[in-house]
Amino acid sequence: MEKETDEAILQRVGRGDEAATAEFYDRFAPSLFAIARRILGDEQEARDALQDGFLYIWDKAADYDPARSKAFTWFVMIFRNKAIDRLRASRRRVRLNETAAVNLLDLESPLAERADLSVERAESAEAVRRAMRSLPDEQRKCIEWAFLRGLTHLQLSELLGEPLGTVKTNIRRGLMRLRDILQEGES
Amino acid sequence: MTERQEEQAALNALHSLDAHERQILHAEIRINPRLRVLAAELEEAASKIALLLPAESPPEDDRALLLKRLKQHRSATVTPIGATFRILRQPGVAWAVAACLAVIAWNSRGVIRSLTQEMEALAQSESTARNVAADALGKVAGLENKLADATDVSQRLAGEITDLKQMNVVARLEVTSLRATVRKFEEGVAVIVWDGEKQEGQLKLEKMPPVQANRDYQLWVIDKKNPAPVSAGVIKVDARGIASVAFKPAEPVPSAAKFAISIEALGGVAKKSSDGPIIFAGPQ
Repeated sequence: MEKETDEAILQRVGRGDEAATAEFYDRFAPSLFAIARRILGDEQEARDALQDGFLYIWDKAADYDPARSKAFTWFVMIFRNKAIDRLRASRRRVRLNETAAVNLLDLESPLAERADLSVERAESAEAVRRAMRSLPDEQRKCIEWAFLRGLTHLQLSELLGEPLGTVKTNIRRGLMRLRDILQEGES
Repeated sequence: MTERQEEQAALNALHSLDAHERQILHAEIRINPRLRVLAAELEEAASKIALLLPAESPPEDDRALLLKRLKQHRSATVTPIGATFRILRQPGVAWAVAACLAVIAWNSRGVIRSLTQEMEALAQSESTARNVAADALGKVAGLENKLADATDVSQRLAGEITDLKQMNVVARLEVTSLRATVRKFEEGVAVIVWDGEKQEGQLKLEKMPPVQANRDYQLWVIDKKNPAPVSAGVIKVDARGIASVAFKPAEPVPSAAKFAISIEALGGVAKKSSDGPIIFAGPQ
């Protein structure tokens, strides 16, 4: 039997289908928990963020429009943004022992056979890894720190010792390049 | 689409915009389909970074807790219609409620009319606000175009200024060819490029015979108003008799009129003596 798409399962959640919510949780909770943990750096905070995120998805899934975005993008951005809001509200700063020299992502090991991912997602992950590796260091660093530590462009400018305009340009160029590489890979 | 809009869309994808910036971007997205597509594409690209994180299972209890909370959440938001209808089905209550509703409806006519007027007024205000926002965005786009034009002009002018500066540098350089004053050196070539403003120059020597082991070639600059030559350093030629060196006189020479090359003691001398023969001089 063909696996139900992320979009279809999310639309069932939007119709109030509790079984779909349980399936949705089983399919994505480990990935979403990993994001929350990485951003918040605290297990209990991440667990709370996961619960809040799922309640929010339950309320908002009916508004999800598959014509506008992929389901994965929609809920990853919701969870990530909620975790960052939680981090900013707690006024915790970047961990003091971390500097810009720290690599937040392991881009060295190939992901094609990662056990926690389906074959299709492992292929996508590998494409993302290769795309991220191909970015110039200064662009990749800005994106990593903004995505995984929730740093604003002002905080990035402070951390990397770069002018604000340079940071913004690096984010713009890096993200657009990442989009181009991933789109080329899909076509 | 402008670079600023691309930048805002990228920052938005990383949740880096403040509330005000986000509001402006969303207003622009509503009227700019290309920006809408770009913002969605950048969000999709950013979201895929999540695939790089190894999955981590949350504690087992969390699943049951979430499903329980969802049930409670759902029942809290559902209206208890069943219980209400059971009460309303009793005949006396139903008539009383109907009468009350009729009275309320009669009395509410004025309220409804006023609410309708308010809604119409709000709709009109919204429409006006949308027009104002569209005008403002149009003006912003116009200003961005003007800024881009001004930047182009500024860059072009900066290029012209650089060219003019280079022309000015070339104009103030003097090129002098020195003539051999001793027959032995007649085949030699000595050319000087002198920048009087910077008080520095470049000497090129070719076909120069080697000097004795305890001697050196030395360059001199002579001021129009001061007959005492000023040393510009020792010149070493290679085995082929070639030298190309930058030089700067030991002291300022405000109006350099002549240049000369002499053969001096090894390492050169501070002041021109009568011992060292002058082998090149110029201009004549």
